[in-house]
Amino acid sequence: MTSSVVIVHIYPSLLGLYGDRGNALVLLDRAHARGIPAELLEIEPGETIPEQADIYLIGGGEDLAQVTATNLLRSAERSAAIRAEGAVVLAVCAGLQMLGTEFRAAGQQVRGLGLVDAVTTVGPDRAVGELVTEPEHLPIPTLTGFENHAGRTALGPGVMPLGRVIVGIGNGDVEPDSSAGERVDGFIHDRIVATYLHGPVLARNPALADLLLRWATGGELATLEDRTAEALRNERLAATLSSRQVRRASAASGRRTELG
Amino acid sequence: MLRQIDGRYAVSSMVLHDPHPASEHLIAFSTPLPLRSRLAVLAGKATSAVSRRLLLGRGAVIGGRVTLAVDPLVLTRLTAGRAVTVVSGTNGKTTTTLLLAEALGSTRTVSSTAGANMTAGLVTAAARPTEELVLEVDELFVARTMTTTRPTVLVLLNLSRDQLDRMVEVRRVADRWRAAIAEVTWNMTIVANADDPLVVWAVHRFPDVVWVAGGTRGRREAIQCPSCGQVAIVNAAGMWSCACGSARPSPNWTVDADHLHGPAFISPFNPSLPGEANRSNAAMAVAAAAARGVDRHAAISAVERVESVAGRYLTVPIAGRPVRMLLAKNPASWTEVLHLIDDDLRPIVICVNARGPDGRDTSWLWDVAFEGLAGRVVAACGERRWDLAMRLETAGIRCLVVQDPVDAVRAVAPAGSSVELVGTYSAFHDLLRRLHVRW
Ligand SMILES: [Zn+2]
Repeated sequence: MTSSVVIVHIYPSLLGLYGDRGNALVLLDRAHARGIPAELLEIEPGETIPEQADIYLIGGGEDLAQVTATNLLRSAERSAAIRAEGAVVLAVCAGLQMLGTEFRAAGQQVRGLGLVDAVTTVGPDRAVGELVTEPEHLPIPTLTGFENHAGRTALGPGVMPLGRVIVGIGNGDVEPDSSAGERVDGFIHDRIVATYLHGPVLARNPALADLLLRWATGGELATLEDRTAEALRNERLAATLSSRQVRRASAASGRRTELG
Repeated sequence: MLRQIDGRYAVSSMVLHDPHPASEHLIAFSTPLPLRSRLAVLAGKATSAVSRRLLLGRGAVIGGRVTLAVDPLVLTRLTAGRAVTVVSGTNGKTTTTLLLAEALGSTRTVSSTAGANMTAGLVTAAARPTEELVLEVDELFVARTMTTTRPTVLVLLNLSRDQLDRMVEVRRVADRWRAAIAEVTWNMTIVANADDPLVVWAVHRFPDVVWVAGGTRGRREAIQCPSCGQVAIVNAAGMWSCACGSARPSPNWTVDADHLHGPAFISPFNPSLPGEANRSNAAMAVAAAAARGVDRHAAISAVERVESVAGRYLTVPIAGRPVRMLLAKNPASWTEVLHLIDDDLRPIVICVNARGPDGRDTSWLWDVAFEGLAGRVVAACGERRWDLAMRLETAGIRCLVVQDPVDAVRAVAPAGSSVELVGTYSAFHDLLRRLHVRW
């Protein structure tokens, strides 16, 4: 455990479209609330991405910004930090697509960073709206957020999704007419968590924030009183799910297999 | 009652209830309108009146929708032969539209839209028999409105992130503007904000542009060059330039703390509307009025007199407390609001909804520098008060969470003491309607 948790937000001016800074602020806040020193480094193009940081955040961006950021990060030297074994990375939306092998943006096929076997194509329409998923491999409850993307991401064999979609599109359909229950969202690979959920995702899902902090600090974390976050989660889940889905979601969180 | 409006029979029966038959107004049009257009306007006006009486809103949008349903080409017909100015941009379009209408109104009759900025709202404004029209147009409707109304002047203010669920990408909105401008075959002048790289990208190839230093709306993020995608350099004076050669054009109009500078012209400049952003809006309005041939001094006096815009900046009594009504719908407008409320530590009620006009995605709240509210009593209310409360808490701002804005006003201040209220679009307008505030 380093003396201070260092959180790096990569290229916020290019990849900060969906309130992505919020993820960094929530991590800082939750570390500070427990008396854990933490600091945020916002690294812009032209600056060096520090290699020994604890958590790297890659957010959402417009097409051109996503392509620019990918071109910068494709140099192995610049992205060594996030490529390092065991690096804790949260990638959202454009960030998710960039970590895969290829994606489509601004009318071109773009080679991604290739950290994970995932290919993103453009879907028939934009996925815009609330997204609720049930994590299947992490010890955290139902995830809630908002999605807004045109991409459909196919995971290679053996790549684990982050969650099963209850409401929304997520990575999109494997078969053209799959129902929500068959869709998945995001992926997990080592300590890389990628998702289409924003909102920002860590503000709506403090358990995911704490999981990243546990990975980063290597220790257990004190429990926080999360009245506001809980109220927000409950309000969003109630507004998005039918009562049947709420019951199913809470039942599913009881029989989760642990990975973290 | 409104469910009956699909059929023509139902529409014409409602005309009987309209206390101001539209046919009288329509006589003033120089080109006789086809019968279908006349009927369309009548139907629309009748529906607006009914909608207003039922307190469903100002009636402009629903009325316009009915008109359009009866005659889809009505906007083209209604605007033919009249000078049209189109105003668009992410922030300030309602204000600039109103200021410009005031400036033009010093010498001629003008009708304008405020807030009802999609096609249906435009039809309602165009149905009034004035010499000129000033149309506030939603960013995504600019191309369509240009084709149908062939504006004489196009005013482009700025583009920034707003309604993330609907706008897709601001860069793509700029591309649409650029494509629409490339198709212009008639005489048109563009009045454009030189400080906004996306606006510059959209218009810079056009031959007739009046550049105004229209401000950056407190843009905090580094700017990305719309032309090549690199991160452009902004110097301390707000100028921007990029390695690819794109740069801020030299403006024809600039505004400083006391004066407005135009081509071979300088005048004291004191708009009544508060804040930096409104000074920029007023400068854009004067430049546009000048492009329409209005005397610059007359235009300046007209815009200086305007004190509120569609209810914004009004102080209204709520539960015995004087409440200043402010609208903020995205990070850029919040930057303006935080500037405005800087002078004192009045309690503040923030009301956030996420309906269609507000944008359904609330993640923009995380790009607002709410840390600036430190030291105030703050209440979070509205349908998305928990999103706001979470954001405020993370910014170190303790807040009361109260569902209803009137209860929130009561909770933050004792009777008689002043309160600031900031709402998103639907929250703001719902409250005005509920308070029966007319504007
Ligand atoms: Zn450039």
